[in-house]
Amino acid sequence: MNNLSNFKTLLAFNMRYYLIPRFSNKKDKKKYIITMCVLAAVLLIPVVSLLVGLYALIVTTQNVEATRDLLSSLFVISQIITLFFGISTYLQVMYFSNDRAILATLPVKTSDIFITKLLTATAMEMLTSLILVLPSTIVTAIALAQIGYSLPVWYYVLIPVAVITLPLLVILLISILSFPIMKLITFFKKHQTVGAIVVVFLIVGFLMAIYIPLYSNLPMGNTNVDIDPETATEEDIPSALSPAMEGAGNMGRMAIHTRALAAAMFGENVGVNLLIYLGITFGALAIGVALSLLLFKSTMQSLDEGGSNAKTNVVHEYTQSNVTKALIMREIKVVTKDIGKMINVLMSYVMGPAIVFIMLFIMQMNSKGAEGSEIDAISAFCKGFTAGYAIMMIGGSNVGVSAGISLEGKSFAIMKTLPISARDYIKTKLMVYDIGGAISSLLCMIIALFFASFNIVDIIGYILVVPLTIVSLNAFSLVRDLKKPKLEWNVIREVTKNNASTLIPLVATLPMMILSIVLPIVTSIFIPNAYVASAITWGCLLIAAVIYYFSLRFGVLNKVEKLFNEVEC
Amino acid sequence: MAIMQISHLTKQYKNSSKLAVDDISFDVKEGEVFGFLGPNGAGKSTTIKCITGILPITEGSISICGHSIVDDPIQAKLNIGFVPDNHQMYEQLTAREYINFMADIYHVGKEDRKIRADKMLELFDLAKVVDDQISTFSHGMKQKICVIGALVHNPKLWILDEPLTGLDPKSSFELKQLMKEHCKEGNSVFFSSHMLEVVEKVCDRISIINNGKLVMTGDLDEIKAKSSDSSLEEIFLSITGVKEEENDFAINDKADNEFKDVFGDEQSK
Ligand SMILES: Nc1ncnc2c1ncn2[C@@H]1O[C@H](COP(=O)(O)OP(=O)(O)OP(=O)(O)O)[C@@H](O)[C@H]1O
Ligand SMILES: [Mg+2]
Repeated sequence: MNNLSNFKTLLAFNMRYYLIPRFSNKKDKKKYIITMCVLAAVLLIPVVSLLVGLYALIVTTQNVEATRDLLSSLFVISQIITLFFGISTYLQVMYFSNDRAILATLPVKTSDIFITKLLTATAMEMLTSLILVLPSTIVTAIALAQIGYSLPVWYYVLIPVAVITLPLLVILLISILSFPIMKLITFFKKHQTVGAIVVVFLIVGFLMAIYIPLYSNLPMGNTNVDIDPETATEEDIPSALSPAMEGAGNMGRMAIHTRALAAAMFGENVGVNLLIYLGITFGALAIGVALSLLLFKSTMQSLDEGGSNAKTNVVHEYTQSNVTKALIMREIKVVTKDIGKMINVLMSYVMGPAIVFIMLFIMQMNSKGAEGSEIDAISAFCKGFTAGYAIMMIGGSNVGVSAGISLEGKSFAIMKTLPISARDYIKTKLMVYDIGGAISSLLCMIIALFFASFNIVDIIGYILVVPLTIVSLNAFSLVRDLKKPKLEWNVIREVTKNNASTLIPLVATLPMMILSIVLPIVTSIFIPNAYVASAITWGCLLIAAVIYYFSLRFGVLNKVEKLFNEVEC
Repeated sequence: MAIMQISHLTKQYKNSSKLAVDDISFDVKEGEVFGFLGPNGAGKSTTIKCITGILPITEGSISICGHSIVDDPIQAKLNIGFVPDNHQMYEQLTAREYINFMADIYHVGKEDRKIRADKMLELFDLAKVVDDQISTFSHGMKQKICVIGALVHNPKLWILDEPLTGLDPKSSFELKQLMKEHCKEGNSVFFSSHMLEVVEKVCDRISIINNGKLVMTGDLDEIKAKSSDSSLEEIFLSITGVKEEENDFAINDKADNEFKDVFGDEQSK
């Protein structure tokens, strides 16, 4: 009885702690909700267009069997996306939260702590699954009804089952993955910088390993169908789309478990299929939980030992440098030697180039055999995508700046006691992230050079536009955070999530991001000369970047002294 | 000459309607150890945070060596060395990196920092761990590194908030010695504390603050002479409002001192 109530309290505590955003006042809450709404509205556009595409594909091809496989594919994709978002959440909830130290002192069993934490992480993943699975299953049902196919009741009964059980398999994958990650982390504890870099690359590498084969299977830009657009009639459309449908179903046919689930939903051998699906899912879950528990117990003590005790034989000496250099070095050390901060900052610098690489690689694979105007269109898309994505990933989602003051935590008070001006402090901080952002964004371009034909105008344009935009966004984000930093925190999640400061910069990047993706495509369609098209594209983007600079960065340093002094800590 | 002048300092936190510090004024003179006493929540830390520039001031003025902390913060701060009560530091750095950082910020030359830091590291038995990350240090070790960081530029005014809590007897003795030595060189020390015996031993002058208001300031002897109570403890307790009977009990049990400081007020009510 006592144990049970302990367990419940723990669970309730964990759920509240991680799932419900908390705010110190109403204004923060309002701001957060508004920002979330804007982001949701922006995200709604691609989601709705995907759903419409799904609907159209089903209605035009009218192939129930292929639809079933497509549904299975959608389930697999939802699991992969859950994995993508889930892994860092999982690691943070399970291993990197400071409450572990407190919980360890409580009179509760380690396994209870483990299970409540696992349930919390799973609940968070179910949210992702809900957002992905629910709309697509409903749209599928509507589309099938449209073509006169009536789904069995099982379909609707199994929708909630799918939402709840699909993320469970992911737990196994995450558990397996967290082994090498945690091993590496403990191993690299003494060299935290290297450790964080390795972890980030490991995650990126794993995602690439999944994504590349996955997407190269998908019928993106599939050009194998010989239909002349000029003579095509309406009857040709289903036959033109069929290969696409087939291709999309490929993955679903290969994945045994989701294929069984989809089949059960379509009323085929419900008992057997359901048994197969649930058997695989819960089998995987059991293995996953066992693995996680093993890891959790073994890290329960060792992780909290913290810090590096590395004794090197080098004789350390005092060194002297000027104030600016001292501030820059402090910033770099404070971030790079804290694994949590490091992972968060590196994510933006590494994910940017990594995703550009993945995306362009996939485009390349799928456009084999493309010719003439198609190549130009793809190239134009690649350029725009690289610029837009670099701006969003590096300028818009770098917590190093968007939560740059908050991340200092309680030790921000030290900065206020030092005989330096707030201007110098902010300037040196910006310098670090401006240089980091510039390097990372140039890396994006260098990667893109291998896949898309950049002419000299494109290269110069990119070098001028992207770093300028990122630098402007950096200043804007950092000074925004200085207005009302969140200095009282224990777990880094409290700063990086549920915080309007980290979302607003993302919203601020959207106009520029959309512009950089759309403009190259538009100009490549309407202007035959590649140089002229590039010149117009980058000319417009440069004007936009200059507008960004003047509205976000110019003169912003004049405000910092007052804001800095007013922070109470 | 006054190293620090505080006049009519008032502080109200943004999210609070109460005055945490209410119109206080006093000076700290050259060459003296100045003790700042008061019960929990009296406003000691708030005052110190205003002096060191951590908190914006609501009203009044503070000047250090003639430089206003509001109008000329950099010059004022250059004359201060500060040890906070929670030992906030950049824990990711090694002790040496932290000392180096502080020395760079306060423009201390390479030789000076080596002489000063090495001497104190030796004194506090920290020479062996100076190249370890601060996050691996114990509470007391962190505090000692804070002290070294604060003294590496030999400040005119050394400010400490609750410096003796958590130090072992030897370290506590060394710290008191350091405070006295620092003053002998013509500098001043300003610290807050509840440890009355310590205050009695090392302070030249004291101020007592209660509920944000300054209750009295002066020489220890002067204060004792003015008051009908004979020991600092009695004075402190009568000022901070402990009833007579309990007061007697407290005198009888001197070992209870520290306990009283932490729980006394709340429990006796
Ligand atoms: N950040 C804050 N926001 C609002 N009020 C605060 C804040 N910090 C302190 N206070 C209030 O200011 C008053 C003085 O607090 P202060 O920390 O200065 O006390 P103190 O004398 O240092 O106490 P202690 O001996 O416990 O350290 C208290 O009433 C406290 O509630
Ligand atoms: Mg205090």
